[in-house]
Amino acid sequence: MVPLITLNALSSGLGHFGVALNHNYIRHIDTYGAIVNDAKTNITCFVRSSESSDVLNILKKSTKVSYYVGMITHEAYNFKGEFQEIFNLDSDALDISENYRNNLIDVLSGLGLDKEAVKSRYQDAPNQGINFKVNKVFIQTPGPEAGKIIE
Amino acid sequence: MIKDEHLPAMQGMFPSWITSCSKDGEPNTTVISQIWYVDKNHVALSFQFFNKTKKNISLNPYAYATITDPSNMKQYNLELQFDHSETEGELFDEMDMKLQAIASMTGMTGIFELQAADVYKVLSISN
Repeated sequence: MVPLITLNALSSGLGHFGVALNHNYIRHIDTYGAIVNDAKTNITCFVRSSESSDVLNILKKSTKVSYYVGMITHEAYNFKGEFQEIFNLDSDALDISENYRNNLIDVLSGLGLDKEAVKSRYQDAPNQGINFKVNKVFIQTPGPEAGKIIE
Repeated sequence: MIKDEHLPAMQGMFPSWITSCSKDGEPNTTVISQIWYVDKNHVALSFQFFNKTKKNISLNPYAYATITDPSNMKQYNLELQFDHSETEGELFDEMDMKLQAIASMTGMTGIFELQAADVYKVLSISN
C-alpha cells in the first residue's frame, strides 16, 4: 500500500526510477510525474522513451524496482516493488505531468537556477508510464528515521 | 575519463542520484548531496546516513550515478565501482567542511555528518 503521507511527495517531488539486471548492470532515469491508483497499490511513473531504453531492457528480465521521490524540504521516500507493465500515456496523465513539470520549473528556478536551462531539462513531455506494484515503502528523509520502513 | 565539462556537475549545486544493487538483485535509488571530483578516474561520495546504499556497496561494489550541471541542466551518467573509504585526510576534511556548510544553510546541522569519504573508480561517463 502507498501510505497517505507519501502522496504529496509523489505528486510534486523529484523522482528517480532505478532497476538492476545483475551486479554491475544498474540504471536509473528521471521521472516526470507519477500517479497512484485508486486502491493505493500501484504507482505509475511518467518517463520519456528516448531516455529509458536501458531501463526498459532491464525490466524485460528483472522486475525489481526502486522509486525515489524527494522534495526540496528534504522529505523523501523510497518505494520498492515489482514492475507490472509499460504503456503510452493518455491525455489525463499528460495533463498531470504538465502541471508537475510546470511546478518543478517554478520551484527550481525559484532556487536560483537559470529558468531557461531548467525548462530545457523538464519542458518536454513524457510519453510512457511504467507501472509497478508497491511492496515496501521506506522513509528517506535525512535523519534518524531514514531507512525506516513505513508499515 | 572525467573531463573539464563534467566538473560543474560535481559542485553540489544540484542533487545527484545513485542506484546500488543488493546481492539478491534489488535496486536502491537515492539522492546524494554531491559527487566529488578526486582525479580523472575517481570520484568520492559522502557517506552520511544512506545505509542501504552503504550495505549494498559492501556486498556489491558497483553503482550508477547521475550528476547535473546546474548552469545548463545537462546530465551525466556514471558507472562506478567502489574503491576505498577515507575517514581522515585532505579529501575527508574538504568534504566535511562543505557538508557542514550545506547543513548550516539548509537547517540540517547535526544531521548531515560525514562518516567517510567513499572513493569510487569511474568505469564510464555518458550523457
